[in-house]
Amino acid sequence: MSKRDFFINRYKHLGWNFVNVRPNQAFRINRNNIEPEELLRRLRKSGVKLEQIPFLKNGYWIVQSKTSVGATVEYLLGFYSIQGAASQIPVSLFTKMKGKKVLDACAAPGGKTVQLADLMGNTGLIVALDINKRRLRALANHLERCHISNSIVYLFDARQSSLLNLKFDRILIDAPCSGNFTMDKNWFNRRTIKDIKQNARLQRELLIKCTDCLEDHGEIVYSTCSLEPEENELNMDWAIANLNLRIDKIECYGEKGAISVFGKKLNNTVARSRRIWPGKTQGFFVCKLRRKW
Amino acid sequence: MYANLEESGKLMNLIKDFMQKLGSKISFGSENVLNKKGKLFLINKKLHENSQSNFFYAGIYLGENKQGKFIPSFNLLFILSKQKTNKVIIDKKAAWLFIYGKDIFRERILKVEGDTKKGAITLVLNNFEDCLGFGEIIFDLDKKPNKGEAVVNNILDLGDFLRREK
Ligand SMILES: C[S@@+](CC[C@H](N)C(=O)[O-])C[C@H]1O[C@@H](n2cnc3c(N)ncnc32)[C@H](O)[C@@H]1O
Repeated sequence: MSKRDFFINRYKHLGWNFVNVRPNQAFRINRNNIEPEELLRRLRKSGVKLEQIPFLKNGYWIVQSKTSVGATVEYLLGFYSIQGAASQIPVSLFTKMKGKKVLDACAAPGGKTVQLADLMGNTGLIVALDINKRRLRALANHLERCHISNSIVYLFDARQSSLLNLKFDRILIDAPCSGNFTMDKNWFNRRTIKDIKQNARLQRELLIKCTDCLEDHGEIVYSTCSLEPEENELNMDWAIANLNLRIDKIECYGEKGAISVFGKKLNNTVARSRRIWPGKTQGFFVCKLRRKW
Repeated sequence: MYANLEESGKLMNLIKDFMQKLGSKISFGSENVLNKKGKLFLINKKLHENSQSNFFYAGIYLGENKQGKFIPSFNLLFILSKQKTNKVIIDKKAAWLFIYGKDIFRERILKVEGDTKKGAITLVLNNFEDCLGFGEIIFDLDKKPNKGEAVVNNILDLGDFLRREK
């Protein structure tokens, strides 16, 4: 069996028939910087055709554009951020963000940091970490462009978060993962189960260390753009069994997380997570966790 | 806090000089400005209380000292653009050219505020009054230049965000 068939077969077991897709380009309005109507008026005038993404408050698909939407004056002024539809979901799952202390554990290049700051109205505090300096430079540019003022960024391994001596009300773990085939033409040839398992181990370490920094009534959102259950449902099943966490119900786009994975039966509450198969959007996985009481 | 005080003092003077040249009267309390390897960040109390000295970026980035010259951030230009400063407001076509690094011609200027004299520096705004960058006045704006002669030299424009990422 080819490597490609091996993975496609796994997806079939999880209930999805493979289709090769190219997700639509999308953006998210930074409402702190402009009124949505005003931005939409300006973009339409410049010949950009848009479609509101039905399951997102501030997200739009770019249907047609004469110029690159990543080079308009409005983009450079920070009125919007180019951000895939599915990748706008994780941050949208947090509640009551104003004035909160937030950890963005794997933050670069900052799409979600800016989204967090926008939801927070630039109040409270975001601590954004990443271990890749080049990607942190892109994050810094993103923060400057979008006029973010409530963030502190460190070149720092999130597995050492406890050294920050802070407790957080909200923690986003947008974990490093093996990605998926829509982002990389050679994905199927490049990836092996061995490196998927290695990523899953790193993700568990991040879950352990970040949970240590969670305030008692805080919320964690865990997300990946991987389609592999080892990095998603299996990690969530492990987290609720080992880290005194439970999974929250969420209302969002996507299918229920799998609770039967290649013959292994998982905790029923793992179905509360959401698996987003590639289609109009990028492939994604999201799950919201909080402490058990 | 954190950095060598003398170095920070020098940087604060650079930023003050820059703002004065733009005709701005605002000032930042030095206790709220952190110097990180020549880069200045304006931070509020909450960030101050929760930050460690080894940060990479914090609060509002104001600009940096590059070989004794102050290079403002777009955040600083944005803050200044909401206050009384030297400004030229330009039309749509000139705005487009400006963010691609081009200079400004007299006939493209819709409005001028503050200093009009050669040698002054001025913010450059589009017709929505969004700040696109800044430049130096190279020909008195109250005089008629020769045809085809630029009157404001582009020093820094928003297109810099795209150039930085290349
Ligand atoms: C999926 S990307 C994050 C994307 C980002 N949240 C966004 O929305 O723009 C994962 C990031 O995790 C970073 N990373 C990997 N290991 C890490 C660690 N131990 N601590 C912190 N960040 C890490 C990678 O450098 C990468 O930038």
